[in-house]
Amino acid sequence: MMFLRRQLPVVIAFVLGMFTLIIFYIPAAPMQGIGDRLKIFVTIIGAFAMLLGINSILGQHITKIRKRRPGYGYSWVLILGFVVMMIAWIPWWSAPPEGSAAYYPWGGLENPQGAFYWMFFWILVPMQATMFSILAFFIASAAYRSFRAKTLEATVLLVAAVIVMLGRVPLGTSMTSWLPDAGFWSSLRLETMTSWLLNIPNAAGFRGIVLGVALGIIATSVRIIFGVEKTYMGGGD
Amino acid sequence: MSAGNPKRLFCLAAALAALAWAICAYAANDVGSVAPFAGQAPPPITPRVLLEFAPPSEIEARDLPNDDGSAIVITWRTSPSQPEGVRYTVYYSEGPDGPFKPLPFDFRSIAPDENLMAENLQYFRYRREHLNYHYAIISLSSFTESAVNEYENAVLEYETKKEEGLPTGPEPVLHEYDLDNLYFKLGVTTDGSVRLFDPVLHTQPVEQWFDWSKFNVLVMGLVFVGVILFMIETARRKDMYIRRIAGLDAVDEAIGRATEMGRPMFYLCGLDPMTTVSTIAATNLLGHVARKVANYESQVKVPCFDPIVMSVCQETVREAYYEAGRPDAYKEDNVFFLTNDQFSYVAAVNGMMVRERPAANFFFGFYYAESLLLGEVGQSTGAIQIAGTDSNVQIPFFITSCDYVLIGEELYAASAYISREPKLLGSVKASDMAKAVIIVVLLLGLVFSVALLIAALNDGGNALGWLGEKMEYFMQLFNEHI
Repeated sequence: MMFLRRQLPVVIAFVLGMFTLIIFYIPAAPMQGIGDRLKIFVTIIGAFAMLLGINSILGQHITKIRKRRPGYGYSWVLILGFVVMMIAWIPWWSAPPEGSAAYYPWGGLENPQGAFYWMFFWILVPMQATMFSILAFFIASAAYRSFRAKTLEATVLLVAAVIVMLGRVPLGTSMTSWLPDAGFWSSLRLETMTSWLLNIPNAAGFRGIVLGVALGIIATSVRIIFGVEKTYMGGGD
Repeated sequence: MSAGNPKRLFCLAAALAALAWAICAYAANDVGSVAPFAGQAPPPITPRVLLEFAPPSEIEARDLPNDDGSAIVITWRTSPSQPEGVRYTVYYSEGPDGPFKPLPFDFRSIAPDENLMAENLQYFRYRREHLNYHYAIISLSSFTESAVNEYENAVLEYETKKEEGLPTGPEPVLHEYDLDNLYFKLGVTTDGSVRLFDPVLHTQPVEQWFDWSKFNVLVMGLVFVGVILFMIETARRKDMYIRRIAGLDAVDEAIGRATEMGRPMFYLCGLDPMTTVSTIAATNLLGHVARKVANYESQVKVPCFDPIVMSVCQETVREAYYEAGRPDAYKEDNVFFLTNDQFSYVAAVNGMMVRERPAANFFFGFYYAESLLLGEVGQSTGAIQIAGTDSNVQIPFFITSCDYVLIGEELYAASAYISREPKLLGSVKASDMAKAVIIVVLLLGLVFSVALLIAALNDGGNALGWLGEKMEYFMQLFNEHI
């Protein structure tokens, strides 16, 4: 039992990790074919794991309804939505016409007249868009907090942010459009300063982080492949 | 002109009609219309710009190196003529004698400054003279794919017509290319006209069992792995210093605060699947956090975006509670799946934050546009927030909305930092050593650029001779990999 819980996962991680690493250097079709099949396994496991996910969320909400916990009415909405969307998608409500395998009178996104299509594009997508659009207000509140010039660093951030924001919109660039296109004074145009800020200091910081991340990924992968780090299996190191 | 002179009007109309006919006949003749060549195809008209184009030299076809044997490459020395709007193209034939036809799949014609051999180190060695050579990669598998696509479209059209009772013509047949007998010609094209050059090109692709373009990556990777294993071994015998990471020091503080307030904590592992290293790092860290939570007898909730991540997190938290000697305190319901739709997930987590008012929120792993939505809502509830991500574009959002942020690689070092396990610390030190090497390489790049620039100002094109060529290779390699 201990072997199954402790040693076997490490052996599998080592074998598959090394194999994936090796086929990175082998372009021959047979090896790449095996690599592609391994990726399909991941998809298959993901599909089965979705059942665990559905079990988890439905189990939680059914318990909530059964125990009449506060807000259990919303659990009914969730379960109802889950069931209705699933039934609407099922293609066998009506047999597809002969010779047209991809036509589902009720379900699927292939049928613009279907119930699933209607619910997807007229309920789910607008709700997603609503959540996304809230981001605009949160950006404003986050910017307000960050750009308060209380310290020298915050003041530098504020000045850089104002330059970049103005340099990215026509109204901002028109403010310095009277400056010449070439020569020393052109470097004071807002769009030039914006490009410099984005391409030099910003890109330098960005690349520094990317290099660190790349090395961190390699180090973590080596730790996992060689069984040095086992926390992801639960328990100690 | 008066209306009472119809004779003159008629004569004028007749003269205009005759003139129009003459102009039309001349124009039709000029553009190669079928009218003067009744029953036969007109001769192709080649624009002067193509006729005067000096043919490129050293046109060759060879196997594409470092591939799976499904493609060939055509190379040629660039032509001295470079008229505007003229691009290189490739035609094919199923026999050496033609006819040569355009490739049956999308092939973007090549401008005189594109596809230089010196700029593609995956398939060609860097040499200065390669700045004058072009290449075109022809995927032979695309012939088969295009034939299958064409056949499927024809079958669909055939069946539709058959169902509607329209004349269908002969039943479509799948065209099978003999990939061993495909011949090619290089040409130039402009405005739909083309001029092809000799020789007729033919070669067989060969399957490769080692990608030599990645040899440098392999060597550097092996060296780095060696250094990691060496440092892990060294760390067993010797104490190693690791700089303070404020965000990780604050984890204890956050757990303590939640315990005192009697409120739960939320731990999110990001939106990426279990196959990404940042998610693995987040689950590693969850093990440490959950052990401390179990010791403090507090409560951590882990809403998951991916069912596989949920299973791993459940196991991690359960083991942590067992190790802490508190298996009875573990609640499986605290690690749960929500949804794998981005904004639905955010809506659910934000809702729980507002309702349950957690004392602390941990955002570790990889995030997308939802980072600010999560951070700002958590901030509005007054929770202490610690984030850690390797998603460059989301780091600023976490910095503005969270109390502590682990930037990039700090997320990967977190497990080592918290556990203080020598073998984990060793790998962190190895990363630091690799960073030192990268700094040396960056400085070398700087020195080489300045040297090449100064030498070019004095010597022109052949700056620093063969040494300059090596430096240029180094810079090109560096540019490709960074």
